[in-house]
Amino acid sequence: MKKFINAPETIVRDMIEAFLLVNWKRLKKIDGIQVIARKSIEPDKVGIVIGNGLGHEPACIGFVGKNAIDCNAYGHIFSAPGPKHILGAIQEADQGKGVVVLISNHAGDVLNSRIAINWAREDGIDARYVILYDDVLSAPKDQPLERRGTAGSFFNYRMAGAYAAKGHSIDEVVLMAERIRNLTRTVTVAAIPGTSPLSGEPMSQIDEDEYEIGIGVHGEASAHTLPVAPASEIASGMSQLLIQDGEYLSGDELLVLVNGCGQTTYMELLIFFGEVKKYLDSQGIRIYKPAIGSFITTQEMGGIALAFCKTDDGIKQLWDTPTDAPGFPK
Amino acid sequence: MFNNRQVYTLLGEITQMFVDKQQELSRYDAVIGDGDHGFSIARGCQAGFLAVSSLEKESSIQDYFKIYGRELTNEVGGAMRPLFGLLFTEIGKSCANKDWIGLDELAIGLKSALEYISELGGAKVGDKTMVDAITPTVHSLMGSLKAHEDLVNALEKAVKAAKEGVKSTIPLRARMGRSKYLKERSIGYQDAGATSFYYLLNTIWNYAAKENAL
Repeated sequence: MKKFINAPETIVRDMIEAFLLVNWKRLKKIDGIQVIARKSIEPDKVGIVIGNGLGHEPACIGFVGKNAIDCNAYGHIFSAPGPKHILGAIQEADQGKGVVVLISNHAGDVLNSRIAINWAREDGIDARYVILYDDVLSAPKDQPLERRGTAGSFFNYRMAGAYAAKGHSIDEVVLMAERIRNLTRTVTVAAIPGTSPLSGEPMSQIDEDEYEIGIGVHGEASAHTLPVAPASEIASGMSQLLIQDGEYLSGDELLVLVNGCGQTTYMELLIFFGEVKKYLDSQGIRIYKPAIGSFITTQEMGGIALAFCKTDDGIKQLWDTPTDAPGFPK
Repeated sequence: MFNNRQVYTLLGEITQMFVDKQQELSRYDAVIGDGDHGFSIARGCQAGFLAVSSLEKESSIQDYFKIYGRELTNEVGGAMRPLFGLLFTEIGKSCANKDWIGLDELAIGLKSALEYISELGGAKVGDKTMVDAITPTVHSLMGSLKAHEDLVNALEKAVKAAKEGVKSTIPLRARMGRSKYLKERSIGYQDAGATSFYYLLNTIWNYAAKENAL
């Protein structure tokens, strides 16, 4: 393994310390627990929290900021934080109006987050959760809770906090987060697996002449492969899959995320976006301010996650809300 | 019934037992798990006991169980192992505002732990998890509660039921976690989580018998 790290054991400490060197003006680490928090959270608003394993940077530490996530509890590399870290994040985010924990649908994240939420409730905080799932190839449409949380969670990380910042009640914030999730679909294609920084081993196996489609954010295997083909074919095929599953129609306007998984060049992301745009044009579907970049990564996985979220005026307004979170596009 | 001081002593005995059994429990786990079950639970219990040891001398039974369970849950790691700590936190909840724990609190606490663990973990009887040992235990304890049996007798029966539950996991194929290939290999081995639960209950029974608790 060649990676610019010191040692597997110091990755978490080294990265978090450096992250704070860059972002100390607005962000802090809470003593004794693994939580990145905003230094000043506006009073009288519902808190937004997420707990997740590290290794996906800039997600999710980079999504902490004004009009975004208030506190992020982080675990070890690709492993969920224990409940005490998530509980600490909930306590820090609570301004008396309750806290919504966004949970990307993975067994460890769901379990540890739900335990922490129950503890917070026992301790008198109105904590709720919304499970985020968006990966269309991980399970059939009628089993949404079997679907994994992948890059499309980006829309919720970006907009649930913007909605909460407007002063909505916790019931309303939960409903909005569920609504954004329900309007979102994602599919991910990969050419080259990422390498675990802990073991030095590839996180999945992908044959030379194939793309794997439906791969998860930790390199979880999919049952589907495609022969290597031009971007136009891959992009139109993936767009078609999302349109069918999400039931997007001619006349709809979508948020489009073209997310690089770590190794993918901006060149490839742009070419891929161009092909997505052509396909959506052919279907009479419009695009509202796309996000193109590597936001939710799987180490150096060479892959692209394509996510759509259907908009209306309310969603567009949330998407346009400025944020100072370092990991979001400006 | 036990008072708060006895609960503190009991938690110490449970911790020591899991330290003693860590090699054995990890061996059961090595077949389909990461082989870390026993070490992980022992580490969790030690963290739990360290935390309750720093509480004030006359803390409530609820707090002893709650702090022990929360620390255990935090320490163990893994996708499903944190559920084990919920046995303690749920027993703690059934002792809210009480100066003692008896058959009522234990039975009701374990019943609610079973419901909570099943809900969060998604395991049912027959999935080769600790649910296979907890379920017959709860049935047994609830039966004893109805029949107004004393704590030691009720625990003796419950331990037998738990042991049967552990045995029932041997021919089962694991359904939760890990890959399909590994799940097939699980047939013929008892489940580590179910075994841990059995040892936990057995320790409570031994302590109740030693203290002549009613």
